[in-house]
Amino acid sequence: MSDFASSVTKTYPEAADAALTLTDVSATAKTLIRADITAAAAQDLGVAFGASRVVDGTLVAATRPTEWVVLGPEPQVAAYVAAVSDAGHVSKVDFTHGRALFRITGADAAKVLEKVCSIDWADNMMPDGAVVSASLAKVTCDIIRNDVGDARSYFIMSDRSSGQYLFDAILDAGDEFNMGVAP
Amino acid sequence: MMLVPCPNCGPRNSSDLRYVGESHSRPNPNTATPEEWRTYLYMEDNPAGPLKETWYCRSGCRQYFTAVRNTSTNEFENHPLPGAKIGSVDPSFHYVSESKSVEGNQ
Repeated sequence: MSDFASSVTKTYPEAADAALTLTDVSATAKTLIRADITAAAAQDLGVAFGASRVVDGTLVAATRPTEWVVLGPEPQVAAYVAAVSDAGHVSKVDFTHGRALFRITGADAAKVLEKVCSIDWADNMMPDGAVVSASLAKVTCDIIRNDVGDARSYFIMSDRSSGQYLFDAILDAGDEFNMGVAP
Repeated sequence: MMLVPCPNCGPRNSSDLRYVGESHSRPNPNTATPEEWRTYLYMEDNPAGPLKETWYCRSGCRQYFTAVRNTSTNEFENHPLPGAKIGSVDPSFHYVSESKSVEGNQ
């Protein structure tokens, strides 16, 4: 992905040591898989709507009842997706360039998200590994909870065209929590 | 805020969904009279009370579903399917937190 250009083009002061950080990880390889839930591909993917799992160095997230997103380094994603069965009605599309992907990490991450999204971010509703699609700052997003160690963390994925706006909207919401931009 | 019970996503703010309209049985286009077809397309019951409606979960699961709403109180009489809420998935499918950091290509 050497020719990848993120939709976030502004530059920000970096604050990697901030307690709450927002990171643009749009360069992460992303592949969309659509399949009937009775197809062999659904069994291969092995994760039901609303959940995610790590397998073979990739993060597989079920973002819709018949839709999965595979995230990770490009070689691992390509290898994993190739191994998913093509039998039946299955489509696989590399949409790395079409989607923006951010990671928000920190104890106050949920407090930031609840300012811009009506989802219940409580641990019993949105535990580590849970996946939800919702309107975030009026942009339809896929949100995956993916804690880093003991730190609460979420992936936020939207259409590329909304990337810069969404990045700024999240930063604005996180201002009162001293959110910083991490490289 | 009005909560709409999506059978896949659970209760959602109505702004996350699109109201499609009253849910009626579609007449057979081969046998329906023009009056029946016009009634199906344009006429609504609009009762003050329980009403069967179609909703589209545009920001969530992107599925159409039917719900019964009391138009006087905005309360829904049906509820999400058991086990369909976010986070109630099979624990064996959950992300294992030992191996992290899948983002690469930076």
